Amino acid sequence: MITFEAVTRRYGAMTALDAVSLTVPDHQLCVLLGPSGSGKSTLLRLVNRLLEAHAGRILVDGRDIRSYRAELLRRTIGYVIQNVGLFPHWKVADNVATVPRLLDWERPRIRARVAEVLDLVGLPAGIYGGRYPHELSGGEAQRVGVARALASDPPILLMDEPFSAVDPLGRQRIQGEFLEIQRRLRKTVVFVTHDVDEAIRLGDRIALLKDGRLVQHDRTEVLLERPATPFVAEFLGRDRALKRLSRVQARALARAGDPPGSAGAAPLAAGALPETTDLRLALAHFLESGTDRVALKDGQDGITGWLHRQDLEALARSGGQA
Amino acid sequence: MAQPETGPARVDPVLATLAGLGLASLFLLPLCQYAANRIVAGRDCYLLPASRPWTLGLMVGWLSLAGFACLPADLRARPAARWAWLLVPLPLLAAMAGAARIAGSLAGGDPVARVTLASGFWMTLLGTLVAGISLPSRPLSRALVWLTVLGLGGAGLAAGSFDALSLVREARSLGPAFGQEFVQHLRLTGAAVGAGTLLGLALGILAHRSRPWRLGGFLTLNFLQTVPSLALFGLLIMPLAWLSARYPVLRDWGVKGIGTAPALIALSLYAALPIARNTLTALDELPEAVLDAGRGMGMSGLQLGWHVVVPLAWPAVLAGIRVATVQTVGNTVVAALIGAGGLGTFIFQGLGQTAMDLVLLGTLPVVALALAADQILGLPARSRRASA
Repeated sequence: MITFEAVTRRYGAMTALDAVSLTVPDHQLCVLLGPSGSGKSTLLRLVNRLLEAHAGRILVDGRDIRSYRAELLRRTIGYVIQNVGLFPHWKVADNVATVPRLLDWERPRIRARVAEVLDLVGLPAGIYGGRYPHELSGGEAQRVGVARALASDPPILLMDEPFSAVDPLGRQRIQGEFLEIQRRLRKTVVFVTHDVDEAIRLGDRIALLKDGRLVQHDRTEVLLERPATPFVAEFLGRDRALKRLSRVQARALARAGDPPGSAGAAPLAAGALPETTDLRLALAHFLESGTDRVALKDGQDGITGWLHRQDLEALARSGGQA
Repeated sequence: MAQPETGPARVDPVLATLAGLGLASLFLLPLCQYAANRIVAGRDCYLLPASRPWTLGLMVGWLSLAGFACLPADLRARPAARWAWLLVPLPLLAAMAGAARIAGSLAGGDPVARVTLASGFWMTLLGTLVAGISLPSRPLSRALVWLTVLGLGGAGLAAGSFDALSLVREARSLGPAFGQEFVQHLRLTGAAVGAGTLLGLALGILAHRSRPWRLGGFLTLNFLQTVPSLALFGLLIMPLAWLSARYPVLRDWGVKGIGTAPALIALSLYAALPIARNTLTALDELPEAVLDAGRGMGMSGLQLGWHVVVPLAWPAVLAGIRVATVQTVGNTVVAALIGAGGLGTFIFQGLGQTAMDLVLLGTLPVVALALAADQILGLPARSRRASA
């Protein structure tokens, strides 16, 4: 758990953060969202003491972070940044091994762990471990950045606009992959972004900042449903109903349907949507096809149920609680 | 008539020009000059009329290089084309041998007669050097070829084949003084580059960290760079003479108005500038994200410096040291004027006595040292490029 208590940070005469209090619960992904200059990156960099607070304090699991030596604290916190910052003169495997080496792990343990995290981010160590950063695409480099941050299995991850330098298509994919990883590892993540869609897609919680002040902090659904101020409502966009839908997978609304008729399952599967499709895409499907229900299939093309248009619309009206 | 497709079949223009010039100089420029003694005017000796086997060697050497230059580019790019390197030293070796033969036959038995190397020889040397630089090759094979040339030249020298050349006669008459000044030149250059490196690194780092140092330090060094070296030596004489008169300790250390002390101070200051500038650029251009990531993962200042800053900045710093070294080898020549010794001694003696051979005796080793320093200090950068 990370607790900010009335944290203030100034740059010269400018107050970047003004008495921000915030608690990030364990195993949650908390997005710090806001326009540029809102202080979200500053807030993140206070956690691993790349910046020091001028007033207030920050606790990790109840202990003031100033009671640690800064270097030792940072080795227990994963850190991913927008420009990745891979060491250009080190191979991928050496980059990933940075923190385990700083922690003086045994060599075989480092080697095994490097292979494990590279596999986790979908870059087999046998192929990518020996490459240099300049031989990687932007998306691959950022995956290595994530692997490097996870290498020592830290309980906390700090991610500063990690995917914003990746091209839009690659960004969507890497976001999905990261969600999968997070579902498995359940780290406590502080994630800075100015991209509303990314925040809504990834965040368990969103803390919206403006001019160094915390405007609203709550579960993502709550922000979408009950924005606290007009600023929050405007920043999240007028299509909040759609954005709510994008957080829910179709299988959450699946109804048991009629068993496949004499036509058999195969033609049905051809027109079916994967059950992991988000409801925003499912709505688009209804709009295009003009139908009222669609079959859902699992990864093996087995029909698992039916999604009805009326259920989807009811959900949109009710405020996104599946 | 339609022009054939240009592009991949293009001729190597540098190499072709060099070979053409080399061939032309064979006919138009004298290889040596003969004079009955040191005072009378010399007479040109062309290699061609003598039609010794060396003429053939020179012609074959240049013609084959010209032929190679005219090959289609894709043939020249083949791995086997690296062996074309072996052609490069041929003209130079033939010219050396030819000059030795001419000198031997004209002045062999006559200790007063002088045979000096003339424009034809220097053209060949120049052409060979440029051809060597323009041909792609691996550093190792390049070094091997030059070592072979030096080795053959040295063997000829030891065997007395070049004894009749006035250059060699002049060197022999100098005796151990030549070796002493050569070593002194190396010492001055080495010490100045060493001190300049420390100074340049320190200033580069300070300038990276503080704005006043960036402005003040570089203003001073840039200003110094515009002061001619001789003037700087002169400027240092007064204060150093005063200091050494005032503090006898300094005199015991050898600090005087003239001699090694002012030379080293001035040379070090000159050497510091390129190193400081490259250090500053290298540090300024370190990617901020890399440093941020390093710090954010918990590297200490020392670890960040040793594992990240030094390896990333050092190629640029080394390039600065390379420039400084080549520059200092040349600057050290002037140090002879204030009594610091070095190869400049012979150059200025020779200029005073209009003895061009003595001047050459100072100049050639300086050129060779500068080239060698440039090649050796450039090795890491080239091997990095080759592996990247």
